[in-house]
Amino acid sequence: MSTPREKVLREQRRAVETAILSKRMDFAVSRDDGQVVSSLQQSQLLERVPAAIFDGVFIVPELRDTAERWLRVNVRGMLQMRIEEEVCVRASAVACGPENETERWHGAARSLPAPRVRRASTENRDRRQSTAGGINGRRHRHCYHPPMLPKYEHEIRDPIHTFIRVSSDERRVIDSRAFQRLRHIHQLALTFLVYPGATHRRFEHCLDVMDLAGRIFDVITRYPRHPDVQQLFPSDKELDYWRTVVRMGALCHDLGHIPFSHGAEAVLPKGTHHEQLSVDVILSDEMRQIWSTMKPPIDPLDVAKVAVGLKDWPRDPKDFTPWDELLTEIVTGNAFGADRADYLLRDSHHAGVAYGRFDHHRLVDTLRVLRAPGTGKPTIGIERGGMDAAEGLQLARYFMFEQLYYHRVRRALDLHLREFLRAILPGGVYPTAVDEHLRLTDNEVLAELSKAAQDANHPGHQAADRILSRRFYRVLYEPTQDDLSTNINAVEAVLRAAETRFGTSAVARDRETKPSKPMDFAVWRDDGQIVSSLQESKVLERVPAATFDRVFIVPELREEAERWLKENVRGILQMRIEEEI
Amino acid sequence: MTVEELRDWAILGRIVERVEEQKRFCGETLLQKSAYFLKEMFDAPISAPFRIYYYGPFSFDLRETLSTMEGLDVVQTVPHEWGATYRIGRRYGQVRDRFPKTMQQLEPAIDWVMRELAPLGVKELEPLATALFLKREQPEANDEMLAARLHEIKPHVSVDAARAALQKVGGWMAARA
Repeated sequence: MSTPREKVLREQRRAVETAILSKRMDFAVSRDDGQVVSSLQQSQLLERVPAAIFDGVFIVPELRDTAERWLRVNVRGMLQMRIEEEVCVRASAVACGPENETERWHGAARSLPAPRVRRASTENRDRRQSTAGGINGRRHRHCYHPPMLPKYEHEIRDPIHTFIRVSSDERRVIDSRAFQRLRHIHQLALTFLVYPGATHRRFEHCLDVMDLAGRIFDVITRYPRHPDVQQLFPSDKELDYWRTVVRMGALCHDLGHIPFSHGAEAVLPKGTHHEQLSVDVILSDEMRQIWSTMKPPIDPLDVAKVAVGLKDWPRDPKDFTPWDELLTEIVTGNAFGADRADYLLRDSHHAGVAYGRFDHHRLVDTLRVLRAPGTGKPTIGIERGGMDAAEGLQLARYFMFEQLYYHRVRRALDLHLREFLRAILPGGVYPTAVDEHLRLTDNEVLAELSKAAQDANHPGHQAADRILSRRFYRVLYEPTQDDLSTNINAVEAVLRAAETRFGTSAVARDRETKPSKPMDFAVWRDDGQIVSSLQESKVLERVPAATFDRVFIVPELREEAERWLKENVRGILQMRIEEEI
Repeated sequence: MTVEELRDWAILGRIVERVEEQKRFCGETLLQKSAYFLKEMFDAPISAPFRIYYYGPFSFDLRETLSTMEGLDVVQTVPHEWGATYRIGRRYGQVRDRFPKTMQQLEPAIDWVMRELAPLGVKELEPLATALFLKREQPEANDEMLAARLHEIKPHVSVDAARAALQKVGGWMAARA
């Protein structure tokens, strides 16, 4: 029998052994018998943990293919060489190319401002980090690390879904300027000023939407298909093309987001939305070069349709066939879109708000193409077995809107951010030309915000100062159910009265209603019938629409305004403004 | 809310109220197509813009409006075998009472909606609404051309069915004139 102390010591030892898996560690251990010994003497595991070693040679990306071919031909001979390593590396750099191309290579190598081949090893960590970072923004590609095989699928680690696998074509899109820009667009705008962990970016969200969309596509096309929709599916060969389109559309669906995403979208020119910009970027010359060289080539119009969906399609909506609509549902669908599924999981994880989780594995596995009851329109529904997961998604969405997306401070910050952007952008509107759009990220805005906060003469000083010194708007009024029963337009009435009393610059209103209700989708029951989800679920019909409507006041007037409102609210709610009566 | 938004609520709420009185199914499609006919044929002051989709004229703004109305209990939804059916909510009366003139002016048009559209299913409403859209878009074109166009936009509607829809809508428009 072990004593409690022995148990604790054993637990501690296990924890240490687990924590140091990369290096043999020698430390003092106080044994139960009072002796102090070396950890290597005490542990059978520690002495067996190998040291993590890395030693590789990098090459600039433009020479990668040639260098790899050259290396495959010459590697055996080179490994026979017995010379100083430094010399070997230099020799490799000079001779990096087939014999008959040596002259051309020499010329190219001499004209470069920096070495084109670099070595990295654990013995020279600092140097490795600096070389891997690249020269002039170009990353050095890993050229030799034995054993070496060509890779056509690449893995990216992700905190939500562990691995995201991407093809070489997809990686070319990911490496494009338009997509790399998303590394600098916060997913949740200034929410990180409320929930400090919410600093994640659109970049990783888009990668995962692609992954999820691919999985949904596989499930709905490969699993048993309902006989009513069988004729809708193209041939297997065509399905391969459409799978690529769906993944690319999902990958590119947020390319049009402006700095701070939804938080700033109101500064786009009237009638423009970020989906329009996504389409413009996907169809730009820069991206067309990538689409056209894919095998098989991809029609960028197909990618754009899937990326933004029917609702926000800036061109003729008649372009969408039922098949197109179905594919867009995979990415942007109101009920089960991959975009929604990922943002709930990801935002929940990073913000530390647990409400966004749901059983997405089960949900995806039960998705099916069905004809909607009533309309007969092909749509993405679920098998009855996925109903609990679908209910979980709807509840998660409701809670996330209530807790996170409609958070009062986040919404107040959005108001100031828009005010700031209007003050600094030419004409007060965001530039929608693709090239200008791609040059602007959160980084530029944050830098300007910081500058403006310190400069009283800066046109955006007031808004910047309110954001950075946390003197943002405070909520003055949100209607109660009783208030709305007295006056359905209660918020408008309070807003106008407050504006009259405190001035329009001291007061602001913000409102929104989402998600759309009802969450009505098709369900394939075990008895073969297709029915409405609202008939099948006791939960869905009860999930309310998340909605808010608030009047804000500047903090310096808050106490006075609250006193004033308390005294006058009953009278204000009796007001009937500009209506027919 | 602006006056325009509240007026939209009052009109949509009135359609829901009348369909409920008839104890019929009041799905989103009926509300969408009814609002479209009221706007285009009867000049009802509905602010939501409509676009033509594969399944006919539709307004995503109107969908948002219905969502907001439901959030504020101006309308409610209850489950039905074909999906959700709309019903009047607790606060509808408050909205309706603010627009007595509009309600009075529109009542004959809403009578027409109840008579001609409310008994129809989704598959009948779609070609009719599309036929009206095409007639408004191309007033000079004859029914044969428009039937071909309607079939082109909605291949699941046969040319004969398209012709019939255009004829019916033409009759309605002539009666209005």
